[in-house]
Amino acid sequence: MRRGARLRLGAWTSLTHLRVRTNFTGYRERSRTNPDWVGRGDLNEQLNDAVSLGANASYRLRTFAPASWARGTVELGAVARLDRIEQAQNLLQAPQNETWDRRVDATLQTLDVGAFVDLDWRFARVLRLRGGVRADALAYDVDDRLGNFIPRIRPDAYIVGYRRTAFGLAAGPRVTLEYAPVPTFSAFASYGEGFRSPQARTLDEGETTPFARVRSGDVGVRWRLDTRGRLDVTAAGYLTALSTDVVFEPESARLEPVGPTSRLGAVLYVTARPWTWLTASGSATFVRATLDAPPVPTNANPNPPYEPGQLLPYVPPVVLRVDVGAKHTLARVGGGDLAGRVGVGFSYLSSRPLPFGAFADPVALLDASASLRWRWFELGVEAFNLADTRYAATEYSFASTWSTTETPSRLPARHLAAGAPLTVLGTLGVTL
Amino acid sequence: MCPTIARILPILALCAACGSTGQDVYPLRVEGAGTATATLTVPAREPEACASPCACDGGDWQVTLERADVAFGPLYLCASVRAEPDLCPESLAELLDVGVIDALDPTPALLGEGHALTGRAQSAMWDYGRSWLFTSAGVRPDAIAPEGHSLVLRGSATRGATRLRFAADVDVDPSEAGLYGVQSAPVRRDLAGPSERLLVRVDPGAWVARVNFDALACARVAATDEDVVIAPGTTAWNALHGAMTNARLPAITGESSVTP
Repeated sequence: MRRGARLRLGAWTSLTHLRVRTNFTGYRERSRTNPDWVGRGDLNEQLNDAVSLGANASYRLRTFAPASWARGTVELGAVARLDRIEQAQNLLQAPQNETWDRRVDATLQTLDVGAFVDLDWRFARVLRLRGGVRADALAYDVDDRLGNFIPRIRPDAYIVGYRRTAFGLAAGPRVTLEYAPVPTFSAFASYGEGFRSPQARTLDEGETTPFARVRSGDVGVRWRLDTRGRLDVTAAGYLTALSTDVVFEPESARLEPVGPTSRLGAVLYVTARPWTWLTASGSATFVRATLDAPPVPTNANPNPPYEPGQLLPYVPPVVLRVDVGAKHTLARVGGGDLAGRVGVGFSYLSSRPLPFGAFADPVALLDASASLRWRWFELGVEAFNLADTRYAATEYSFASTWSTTETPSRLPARHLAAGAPLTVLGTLGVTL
Repeated sequence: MCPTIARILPILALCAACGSTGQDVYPLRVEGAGTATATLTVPAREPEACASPCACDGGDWQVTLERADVAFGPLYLCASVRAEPDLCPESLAELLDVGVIDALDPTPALLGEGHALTGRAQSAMWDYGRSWLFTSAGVRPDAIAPEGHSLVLRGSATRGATRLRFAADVDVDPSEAGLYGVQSAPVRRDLAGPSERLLVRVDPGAWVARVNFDALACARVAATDEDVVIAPGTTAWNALHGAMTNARLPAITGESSVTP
């Protein structure tokens, strides 16, 4: 290998197991297997077992300087990933967890092989250009054992199952330009294109894989307002557009396509160190996430209501986080320093839009921590949700039926999962 | 804070609050009404339709309705073209109460207070006071349903010297748990907002007109019997049931009138 060049090789494997049981809707489901089975509770069990193998390789050429004011590198690489996934979704009847319907029973094999080329160049010491192109080929082999399901009202004309394969190609560029005329200030702009691979079970035989295209651009500045680094500010604006987005659908307990979306936002991040013992940081994210076309028509709603500028569900328009921490030596005890540390953190999520025109309540949480450290020992206490605020950790809007005796409503309503109450954790740490 | 940032932040905060999904749940007043036609003429059936050994004399039947009480509800309006539970997981509007419509009174009367979202309803499903919940073992009549039935119909039919006093108690039951007595009734209605009023108008005359009174007269044990009970499962009962669930559905209208 030539001097200054770099070769990287890597391989990895993973084994994951996921089993989730949720009941979002109460008593609304009917068994497909036996339509006479109803009202047993919509306890959805989802299983996902995956074995994954991956490898990557990249080779960066030694720095090339064609002129005194220009120097940079080129990097070539390839990645590969193979997944074998077992998926299942069943309806269970509590408390014995008897299976009363099978919704998904599939084996998926996916292969993703990608290649990329990256550039990292500096011009005249004030301009830095990074960019590249990545292309991926994805192949899917789906054994959907419940595909071509035969409802009970139809006579059997074949054996249930749907095995199919699909293939697709996706390529996208990305580029970042950074301009730093002085050490305390830089401005940057970037653009990139990517993709979101589809849920394999939605693919048909021989279908050209319909990737969701992601286009994203951002511009920003980093500004050190104090030459001693006591106040740094980063501000950026961004625009991201997805050709097909997904949102969580509680009825099916999974993500469903919703149509093209975009997110126009800004991020402000400030860090301050006015004294050596005090550090503070704050970030604010503002985003306007909108649906850019009418939602995907379905049999249930062939004319979904749509207004230009309609907000995308579940995306909080404003997110704030502020942290303040102080650290100082309090005394000298037994030949060692006794150091104290205290910190507080504040988080705020603005009201989030929900489906069907509802809005979630805003969430504001205060956390705090304190610790004492002496030699190798540290005794700490952390408190989360210090004000013991009652808040919704997650909030959705959909129709559900929880009464077994009253006429069920089919209008969507707000549902929430309660957030954690005041939680205090104590820790004793030993540093060797 | 930098003055530029100080100016930009409020603008960004305002932008974050822009936009609307345009949907709010609003109360929906649902009224029921009948028709003013308590008397009607039912044409005689063709001779070949007459049941032996009776003979049709070709005259029309003059029918007078004395009582026509219809239990109606719950009602769901759906955005889908077909209103079936699987195709309408979320409704656009609903009335969960059951009300009784005096089908001989054309004046709208309150059936109940429902709720609605804005949007275009294209179909409806409802029960006639007898529901079969997912979680119940069978059909249960609502407490307000007249004598527990979907329709209580009383009246008389006269042709010449022949007079029949008929009585029909019709139960419209869902065929399975979780289904409704009437599914996929076409409706076209734009639900616009809180001033909405929905009117359900039933026409018992159109239901009775489907009854074969010739056959009913022939089915009497004695030719002099005046009282006839239209029993479940008989042709006349099936005619009424079919009219209520398919052939002569109630009209669901509002401020912008829509007729199925």
